[in-house]
Amino acid sequence: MTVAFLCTVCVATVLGVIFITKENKTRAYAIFALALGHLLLTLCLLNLNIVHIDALSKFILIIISTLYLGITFHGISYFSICQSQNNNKYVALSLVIFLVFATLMIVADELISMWIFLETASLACAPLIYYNKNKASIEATWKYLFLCSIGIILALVGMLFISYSAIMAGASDTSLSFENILANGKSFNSTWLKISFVFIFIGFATKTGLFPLHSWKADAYGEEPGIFGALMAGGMTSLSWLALIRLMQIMNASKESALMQNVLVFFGVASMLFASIGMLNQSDIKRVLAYSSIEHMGIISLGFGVGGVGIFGALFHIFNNALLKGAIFIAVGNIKRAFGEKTLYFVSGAIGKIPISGTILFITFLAIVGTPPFGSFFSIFSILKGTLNYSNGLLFFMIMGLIFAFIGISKTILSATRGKPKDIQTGYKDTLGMYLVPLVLLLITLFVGINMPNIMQNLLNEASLLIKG
Amino acid sequence: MNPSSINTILLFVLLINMFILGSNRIITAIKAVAIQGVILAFLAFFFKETTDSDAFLFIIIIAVKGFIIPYLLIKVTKMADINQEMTPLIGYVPTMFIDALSVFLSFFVASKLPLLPAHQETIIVPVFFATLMSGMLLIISRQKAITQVVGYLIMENGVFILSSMLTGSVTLLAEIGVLLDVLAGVFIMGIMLNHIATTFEKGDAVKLTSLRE
Amino acid sequence: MQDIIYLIFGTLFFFMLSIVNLGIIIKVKAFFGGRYGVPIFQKMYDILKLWQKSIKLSQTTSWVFFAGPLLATIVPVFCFLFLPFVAFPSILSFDGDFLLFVYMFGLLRFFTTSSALDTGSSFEGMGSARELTFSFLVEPIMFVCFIILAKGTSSLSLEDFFGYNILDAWSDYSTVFGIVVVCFFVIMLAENSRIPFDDPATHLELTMTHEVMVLDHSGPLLASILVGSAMKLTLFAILIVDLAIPFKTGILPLDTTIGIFAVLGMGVVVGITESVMARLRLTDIKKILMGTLIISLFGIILISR
Repeated sequence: MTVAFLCTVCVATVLGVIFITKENKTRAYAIFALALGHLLLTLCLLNLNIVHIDALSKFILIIISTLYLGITFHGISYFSICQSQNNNKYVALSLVIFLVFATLMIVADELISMWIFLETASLACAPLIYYNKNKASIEATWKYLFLCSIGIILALVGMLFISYSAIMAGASDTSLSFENILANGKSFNSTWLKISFVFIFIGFATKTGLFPLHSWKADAYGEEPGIFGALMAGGMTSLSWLALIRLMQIMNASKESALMQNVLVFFGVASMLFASIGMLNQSDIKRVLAYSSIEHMGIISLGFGVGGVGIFGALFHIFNNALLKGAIFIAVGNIKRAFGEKTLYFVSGAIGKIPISGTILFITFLAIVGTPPFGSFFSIFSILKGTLNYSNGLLFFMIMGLIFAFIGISKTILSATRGKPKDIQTGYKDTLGMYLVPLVLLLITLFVGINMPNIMQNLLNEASLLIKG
Repeated sequence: MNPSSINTILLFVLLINMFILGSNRIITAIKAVAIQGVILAFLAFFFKETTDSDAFLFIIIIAVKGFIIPYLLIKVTKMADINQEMTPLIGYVPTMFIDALSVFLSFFVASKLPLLPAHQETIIVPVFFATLMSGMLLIISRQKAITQVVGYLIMENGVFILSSMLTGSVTLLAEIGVLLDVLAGVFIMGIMLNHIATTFEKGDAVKLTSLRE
Repeated sequence: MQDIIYLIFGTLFFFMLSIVNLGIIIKVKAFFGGRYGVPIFQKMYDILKLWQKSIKLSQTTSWVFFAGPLLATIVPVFCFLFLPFVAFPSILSFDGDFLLFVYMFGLLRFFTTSSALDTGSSFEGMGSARELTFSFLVEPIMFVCFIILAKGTSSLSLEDFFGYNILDAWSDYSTVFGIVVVCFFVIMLAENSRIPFDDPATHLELTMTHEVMVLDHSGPLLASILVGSAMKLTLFAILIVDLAIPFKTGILPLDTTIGIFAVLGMGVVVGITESVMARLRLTDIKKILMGTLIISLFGIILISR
């Protein structure tokens, strides 16, 4: 109770500061303070038993908290140096709303309330995409709003179907709390459960950005500033994976996992192959990163689909993907500021022009494609191992996807970072505030790759056990 | 539980879907969706004993779906000076025909699904599917951005049909939360529509095609 | 012998009811227009006047030209024989007579349009095309409605549709029967070329649908057409009244009075509809008829599940 009260007071104070002040910088500091508070809250929730949350929630909460802290820290220099003229009141407001509802969504223990919080959090992202206020960003925002709203309506339908399958089974408790569904799911009506799986999967796969429902992703990530791209590619996707994981838990608990596994594997492989082919003829760096995000969603989906050690790998990959996407989007944002454009026609030789951000971009690229000893190597490797246990033919497709993706992303990033810089003067210089965050996020993935802390290992094991049911 | 009156209400819902797909003026469609939402609000009274919380929810639904959302949308239409014509991609009569086909399809699908005897008497599940499909049909068969919002609202009404069927598992707070989310969504969409209209011409989703793969 | 008397009186009664019904529509429209209006029996006087005139014929016409007006009178009377009037049973009845009922109108339409085309006038060709387009949409609606009635009352003749078990059918399928009443009303307006589908009083050939087809008919031929159209309208009014008033008191005079007033009430409703609505555009007419067809199909789904 006291924690909830304290949180409310914190959020209210931050909102008050955002509304009262006229300085962009003050708002940025206010959000950073909120992020620090959120980290504190996360630590409280992890260690003290205030609210009952399981390992999955803890895991996603850590990701969101870390990423948000990084992004808001970057935001201080971003808003005060690069965007000092552009009023950030609504964006700051959206960031606060996003954090509040993301946390609520993670903690939620009931399907429909989880839906409500996720929908609000994703609505809060719309102003972030619209930040640049030009034609392209309007279009991207509209596509995002629309596809996600429709997708998530279908998810709601699926949730109601779960309740109907409980009613069909004559269950006494038809509420949609996880506890109830996981305990009694075995007796639920299987036809309705399958239908509901299809609906919920479509709904959250739209939000995650799996292959046939990805079309908003390239536009949204391409048009919004890199810092918000980091939040969406890292944070929003982790949230929607949490929702999908809940769905998997339900399906596993009700012994309907065969359908679920096939669907996940199919969409995973399809997303990987599609995204890696889509990357090849892109000249816009951010859009390439968006396709890379689709590809990594595919990898995670495949990991969950194949089961076994793949689940561990997929969970670990959610973590790596969130941090690495955070790092690379911020780094690309710096590159874009240095060159004034984000297409390969203008951008080349970033390492020569802004050495630190350029190098970070290059190394993050290596981490993203899964170079040892970064964490992403180990997560992808686990998924590969899981795939090998599942089926050999699938392994072929996965490796094809990884190779194509490597070719696609390296083509772009190499020509952006290497070579002779074009003579474009934008007056941008690397400062500590601008490159610290991607560096730290990169170092975290490196650290968990070399030596994963026991506490994280345990958390991941516990979480994958939860999924397996 | 009164199958006959529930069926009558649901039939009106189907007819309103048909009407919206056949109408060629945007404001008419917005008003029709509002009326559909209000009609559906009455549905809850036929399923169970009415309590105070039901009456509360009823008032909120009428306020949000019947007044606030149509007011917002009509205001946006006027502010952004959006042309009243629907500009269909698929003609009116073909869309109505496709909608009729989708209704038949949903009756067919619903007849294959396992249902409780109480729900077999009513046409609630087929009408739910049909409304969902009508909303999608409106979204894909009309060009303007605002008609897509109308389609989204039809789909939301469809979900409301389903949630009113499942008394007991959807709590009052959840209903209100969903409703507020829809309201927030429509609000943001309204703002975006206004910006679309000032940046592009006449709130046209046709122009939203510059970003390609 | 009794049958023949019954038939003659029935037909005469039907004729008078039609004239009065049309008169009432005109009165109601006049009332809405703020005028006093012509006497209720004005149509009767018109018909008598026309009957005394001579026939003016175009040189291109053949016998087909006469067939249209002739059938215009005969078909409604013939169809009336199948239809029960409140408590009076129908004069002719057999299983499946509703098919004959529907297709007698098809026959009438065929000959009306043929006789219009027979004159060789381009306007009449246009009117025929429109008439056929609309009836192309109206006919299936009527058919579907009758199928619904057949299924609802589990019988196959018009007499049984509105006979002893219609009350039970109403209580079982009130929604569907409500749809059928609405569909019948739309059919009545469309088939008889009333506003909002067509304006019988228009004077511009380009906007006419039905009236343009009878431009070349004169004298007794026109009188026949006028009588026919009045009867057709009343026939549909009786159809709706039979369906919409399923209960009977059991006292014959009372039932008949209720029936007559209900039919005249339909006249008032039509008059009000004509007064408050404007004519629809041609494209909208198709849309509305299509919508009605789809609604009637919904009815079939509802009743057969």
